[in-house]
Amino acid sequence: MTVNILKCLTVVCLLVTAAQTRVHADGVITDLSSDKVPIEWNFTGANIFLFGAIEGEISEENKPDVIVVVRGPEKKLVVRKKERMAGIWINTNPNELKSVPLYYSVVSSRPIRDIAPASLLDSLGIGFESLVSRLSREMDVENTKTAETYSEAAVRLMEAQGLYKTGGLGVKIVGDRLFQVNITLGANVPSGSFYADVYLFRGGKLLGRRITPLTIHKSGFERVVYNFAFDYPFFYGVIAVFLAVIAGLAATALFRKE
Amino acid sequence: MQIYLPIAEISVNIFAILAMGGAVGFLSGMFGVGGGFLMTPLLIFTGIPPTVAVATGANQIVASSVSGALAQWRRGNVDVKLGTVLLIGGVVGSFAGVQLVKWLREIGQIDLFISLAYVTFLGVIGGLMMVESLNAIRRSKLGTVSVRNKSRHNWVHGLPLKMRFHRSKLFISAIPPLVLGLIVGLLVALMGVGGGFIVVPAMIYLLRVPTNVVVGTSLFQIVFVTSIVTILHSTANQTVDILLALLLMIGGVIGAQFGVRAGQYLKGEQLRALLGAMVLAVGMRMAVELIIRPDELYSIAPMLGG
Repeated sequence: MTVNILKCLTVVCLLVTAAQTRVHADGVITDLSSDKVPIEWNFTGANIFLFGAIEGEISEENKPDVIVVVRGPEKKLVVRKKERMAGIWINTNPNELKSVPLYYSVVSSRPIRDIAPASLLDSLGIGFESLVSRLSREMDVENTKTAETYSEAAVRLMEAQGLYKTGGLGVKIVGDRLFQVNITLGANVPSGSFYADVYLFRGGKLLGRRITPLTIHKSGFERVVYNFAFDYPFFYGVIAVFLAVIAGLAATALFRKE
Repeated sequence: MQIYLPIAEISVNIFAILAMGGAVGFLSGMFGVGGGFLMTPLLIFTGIPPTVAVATGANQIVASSVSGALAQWRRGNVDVKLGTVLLIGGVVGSFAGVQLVKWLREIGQIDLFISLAYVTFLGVIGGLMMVESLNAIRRSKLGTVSVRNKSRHNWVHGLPLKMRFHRSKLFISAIPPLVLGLIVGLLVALMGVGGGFIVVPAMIYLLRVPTNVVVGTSLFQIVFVTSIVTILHSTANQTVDILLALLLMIGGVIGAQFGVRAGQYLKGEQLRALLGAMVLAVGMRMAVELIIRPDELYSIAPMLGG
């Protein structure tokens, strides 16, 4: 209910802003329902609405298309391949991937292939294929086939964890100028700086682009515990032991009374 | 109700974790064992990263063994000198074990190593328990009584560096308890177990420690070694999840109370056969995962240490 009211308000705001700044270079303006998502003890994922307005001339025969790419923080990861050795499956041949986004989702108003040519999508880093080719280019591996196999595996593994998504047609264009998209983040979403990248296309050409930052951060109890564990690991361990001793003794005292 | 674990970084069902702690607590109360060797595999099956499962398991054992250790201490059933020698070995083993975990994590073999360690230990211990208890059941049916070799001397007594342990009425070399402690330290650090299932039989059959001192001394050692391992893992690997440990402690304590009562209705041999079967089942489940061809041959992990 509140989300719906907020949504309407935002849409109205965007309409007004769109009307005021008719001739905007970017050709698209956007806003998020929230740009800071806290991970608290009861975190099970989050839903974020992205609203936007398209600027400039709009004609019936040449309707605009929107692609929204959400990219998470990037990290150096290792991909390993299991091989059978002496009857058991063992991780072998580790290969390093220089900077893998920990979250990556593509949502669009139509299938991305219909919106723009592959070469353009590739240069903008839109879609799994473009991501795979970027990841393999960055690898220090002689054999390009190997690099590609490992990059594909990385994307596949991240997709299996629900951290990579593609093919969603969730961008709804309302009327001519307004659009909205629902971004779903699962409970396993990493914390860090995210970017919602909105691309506006018309007739296979990029007309505008707008990047909106989004922060996902541990908050409250989660933040205290996590920071403490990594900033003061020794004292964290001491406290963990102390708590365990207290818990053990308290439990005994409690049950002895009965 | 879902709860987000800060260090394991996954969202789990709070009741599922409590129930798991409760079930393991029930079993440990019923069988009189620590239960760490069931807890860690269960946590891994739930999706908790193995390194977090091991370190958090060690932390949880501190809670489940501290009151037992204290009660034994009050009754004078702890051989402090022997416990301290075991502990010295335990400290060395813990350091080595935690460093080994750190290194195995960096080269991406830790999950495999933990699984292999479990398959080996659960297989051997479960198998021995089954054989021993089935024999006992058969013997009790036949009505024969086995005669144990009562000799207090074995190869252990030929070793140098002899020390006198008054409480245990022993004059033996310090090497076997040191080595035993070292092995236990390694096991706690690598597998998140208390190690009672190794220490108790080794003390009885190898060191010939009187039975009334065995449990107290082993608990004394376990409390300290698991505490040290918790701190070392936290310092080296940041893998202790306090929230997860707390949930397991709550479930475990409650489960153990009921387990003790349930255990009184079963015979010793039957209990051991049942526990042996359970241990074998968990070991087999882990073995199957190592042997069958995985659907996904590739795996992804953060870059550590490099």
